[in-house]
Amino acid sequence: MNNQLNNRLEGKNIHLIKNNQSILSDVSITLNQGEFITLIGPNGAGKSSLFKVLTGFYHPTNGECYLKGVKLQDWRKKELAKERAVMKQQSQITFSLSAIDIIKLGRSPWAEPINKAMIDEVTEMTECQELVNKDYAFLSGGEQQRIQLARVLVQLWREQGPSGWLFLDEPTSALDLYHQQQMLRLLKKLVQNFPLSVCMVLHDLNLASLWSDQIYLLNKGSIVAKGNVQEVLTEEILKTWYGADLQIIQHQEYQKPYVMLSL
Amino acid sequence: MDKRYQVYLAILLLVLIGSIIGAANIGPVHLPWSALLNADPQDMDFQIWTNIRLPRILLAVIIGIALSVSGTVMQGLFRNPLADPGLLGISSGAGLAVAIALVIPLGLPAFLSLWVPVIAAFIGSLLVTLLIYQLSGLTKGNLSSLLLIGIAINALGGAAVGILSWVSNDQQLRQLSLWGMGSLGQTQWPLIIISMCLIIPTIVLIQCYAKQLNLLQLGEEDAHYLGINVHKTQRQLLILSALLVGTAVSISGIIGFLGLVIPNAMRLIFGNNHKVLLPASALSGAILLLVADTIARTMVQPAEMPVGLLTSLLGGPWFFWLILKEQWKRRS
Amino acid sequence: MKLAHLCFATLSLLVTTVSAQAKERIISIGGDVTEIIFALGAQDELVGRDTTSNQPAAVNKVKDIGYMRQLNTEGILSLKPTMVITSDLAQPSAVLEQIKKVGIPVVYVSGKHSLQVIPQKVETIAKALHREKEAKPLQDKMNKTIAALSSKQLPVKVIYIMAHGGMSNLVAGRDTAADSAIHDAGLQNGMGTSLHYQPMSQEGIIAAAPDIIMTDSDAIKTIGGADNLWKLPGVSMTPAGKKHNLIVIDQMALLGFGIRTPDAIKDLRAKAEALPHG
Repeated sequence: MNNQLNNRLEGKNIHLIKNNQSILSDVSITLNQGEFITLIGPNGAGKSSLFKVLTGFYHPTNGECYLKGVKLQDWRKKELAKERAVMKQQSQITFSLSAIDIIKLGRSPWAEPINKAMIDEVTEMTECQELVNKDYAFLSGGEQQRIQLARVLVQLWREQGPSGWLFLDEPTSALDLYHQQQMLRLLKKLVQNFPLSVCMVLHDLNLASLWSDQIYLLNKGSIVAKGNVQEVLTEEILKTWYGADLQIIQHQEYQKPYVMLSL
Repeated sequence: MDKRYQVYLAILLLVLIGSIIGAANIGPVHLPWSALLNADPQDMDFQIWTNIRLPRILLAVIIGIALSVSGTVMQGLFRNPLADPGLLGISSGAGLAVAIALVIPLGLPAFLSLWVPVIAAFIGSLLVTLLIYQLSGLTKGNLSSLLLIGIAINALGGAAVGILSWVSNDQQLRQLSLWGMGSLGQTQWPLIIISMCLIIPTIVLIQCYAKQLNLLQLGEEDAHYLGINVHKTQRQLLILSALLVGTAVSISGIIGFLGLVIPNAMRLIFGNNHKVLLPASALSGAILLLVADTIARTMVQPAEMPVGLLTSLLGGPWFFWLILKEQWKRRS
Repeated sequence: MKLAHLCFATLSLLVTTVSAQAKERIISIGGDVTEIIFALGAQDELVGRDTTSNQPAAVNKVKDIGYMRQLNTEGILSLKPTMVITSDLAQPSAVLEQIKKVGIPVVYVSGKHSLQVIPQKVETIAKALHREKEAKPLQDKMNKTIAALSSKQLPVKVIYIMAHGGMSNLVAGRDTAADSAIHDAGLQNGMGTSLHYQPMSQEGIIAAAPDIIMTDSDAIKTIGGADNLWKLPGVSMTPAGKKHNLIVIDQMALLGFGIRTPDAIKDLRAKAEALPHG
C-alpha cells in the first residue's frame, strides 16, 4: 500500500473557483509512475487549470492533491521541484539568456554542482546541441520548445535518467512533424525505462492516440471520459463533447483509433 | 561563470581602482600624497585629504554602486528594461519629505538644519518602502499593480512638492531644486559610515539572490515550478532595493540616469545572468559616478556643477553607442 | 656669511610682519557682502566671490566660486582663503561646515531684508576685517539717510514685477525683499496679501489696483520695452496702467539690502511722490 502511494500523484475531488466562476468541479485523477497520460478536451475545458492545481501553482478551492501520499502544499518547494517539472506552452523572456543558461536553470533546485556530462546527455537526446550557445530570444517557437524540454528533463534527472512527474502543456504545438515524433518517442522511451510519469495536454488527438497509456477527457471543468485510448477515442464520445463532425478508423499498423474530420 | 566575463569583471575592477587613484590626484587643491602619509593632524593638506577629498570619493563609489544595483534589481524584478529606482515612487517620497522639511519651519538649531534634508529623505523613502511592502502583500505580489501604485505615488508626490514649492520662498525653492539635481557635497564621515553600514550588507544580500533573479526571468509560474517562493522573493528583493535607493537619495539627492542606464548597458555587454550582471553593474556604476563627480568638482573650479547633469552627459552617448552597436550586430 | 644670514633673517621677518598686517585672503558670498567689502576698501583682499556678487563691476575680475547653495569645498580651499564672509542665506551648508573644520574662519552676515540690519552688516564685516575706522563714515552716512527717510506713509500702492523669461511674470508678495523695500519707502505693497513671489494673474493685478508699477531693467528687457509692459494682460486696466506710472529700479541696490539700499529707498520714495496719483 505504502509502496503504491509512493509512486503516484493524485488529485482527489478537486474543485476550483476563480473570480466566482467554477473552473473545476469534482475532478479526481491519478498519475502513476511509468504512465503516459494525456488530457484532452475542447477549448476552455479547464485543462490548463487542472495542470496548475496538480503542479501546486493553484490551491484547489476544495479537495486535495497528494504526491507520494503527502499533500502538495506540505512539500518544501525545493523538494517538490525535484519531483515534478512543468513545461508551459510558451515562456516569454524579456531579458534573454543563452539556451544553455536556460537549460541549466532547470538544475537550480539541486544543491550539487551541475554535472556537465548529464547536461550534454540531455541536450543530445533532445537534439539541442546546435542551439545551446544561441540566444534563447532569437530561437524559433519550436526550437524554444526543445530547449524547454531539455530544461525540464534536467530538472528531474537522477543518476541514470529522469524520475518523477513531468507535466507538459501542448509541448508539440510549435514543432514540425519530425520533431513532434522525436519528442513523443523520447518521452515514451523515458516513461518506459525510468520511474517517470508524463502528463500532457494535447490537442492533436491522433498524437494522443498513438502514445498515451491513459486519456482523460475534460469538459467544462469535469472529467467526462477516461480510460485507455480505445475506450475514450470513440466516435460517440468525441462527437458528444467536441461537437465536431468526425469519423474514427483504426490505424492499420498499431490498432489504435485514428480521428478523421469530415469535410 | 564564463571565463571571459571573469576577465571583464577584473578589468572593471582595475578601472575602478584606477579611477579612484585618478580622482584622488585631481582636485582644485594640489594635494601631495606625502601629506596623507605623514598623517599630521595639524597639516591643512592632511585635513583636506581625510575630511574632504577621500570621503567624497568613497561616497561617489558607494552611491554609484547603490543606485546601479538597485536599478538592476528593479529591472530584473519587473522584467522590464525601463524600470528604474524612481519607478516605485521611493525618490519622490523622499523628495516630498525633504520639501516638507525645508518649507515648514521646524525651528531647529543651525547645526541640525544641515541634517534635516538627509533625515527627512530617509524617513520619506522608508515610509514609501513600507507602504509598498504592505501593498505588495495586499496585491498578492502582483507587480503590475505595484507599478501603477508607484506611478500614483510619483504623481501625488510631484503634486505635493509642487504645492510646497509654490508656497516656499526663494531660498527654499532653490534648495529644493538643487536637491533634485543631486550632489555629493554632503561628505561628512558620520553620514558616510551610516550609509556604508546600510549599503554594503544590502549589496551582499542581493548578490545572494542572483540565482533567484535569474529564475524569475522565466516568469513567475516557471520560477514557482523550479522551487522558489516567488512572492516572498519578490518582496524581499523589493525591500532590499528600496533600502539602497532610500539611502542613496537621502545622502546625495536625486541622481538620475545611473539606475536606468548602467544595468541596461551591462546587459548588452555581459548578458542577463544576474550572477555576473550584479557585480558588473555595481563596478561600472561606481566608475561612472566617480568620474562624473570628479569632473563636477574640477571642471568649473572653484565652482561646482550638479553631478546629475554629468552622469547623463557622460553616460548618454556611451549608452547610445552601445544600443547602435547591438542593432548592427543583430542585423548582420 | 654671517651677515648674509642676518640680512636674510631680518628680511624674512619684515616680509612676514608686513603680510600678516596687510593681507587677508577673503571669499565673499552674497551680493550685499561683496559690496560692503568693496566699500570698506578691502577689495584687494578678495580672492573669490559667489555668482550673486556682480556689483561693482570690478568684482567680475574676481574668481567666481559658483552659486551660494552649491559650493565646492575644494574649489574654495584652492583659492587659499584665510577667511570666508558669507550671507546667512547660504546656510545650512555642509561645505561651509567643512571649511570651518579645516580651520578657516567663516563669518556669517545677517540675510534679513531690513534697513536696520544694514549698519549691523557693515559692522560685522568691518570687525572681521579690522576696518572699523573705514566703516565709521559709511555707517554715519547710512544712519543719517535712514533717519531722514520720511516716516509718513503714502497711500500709494506699488507692485513689483519680476520677469526672467519663462512662462509667466512674477509679482512680489509678503516676505520678499521687494515688499520690505516698498514698506521702508513708506509705500504700500499692492500684493501684500499673497506670500512670496507669485505668478502674475490678470484678475489679481486688476484687483490689486496698483498706483505704480515697479520693475527692474532686466524685466523691461525680457518683456520687450516699457511699451509692452502696459500691454500685459490686466496691467492696462490698473490705475498705474492708465497713467503709465512706472519706476525702474536698480535691483541689486534696492533689493540687495546692502550699502546702496538706503539711498535707493530714498530715491524710490522721491520718485513715487513725483508721479501723479490719487
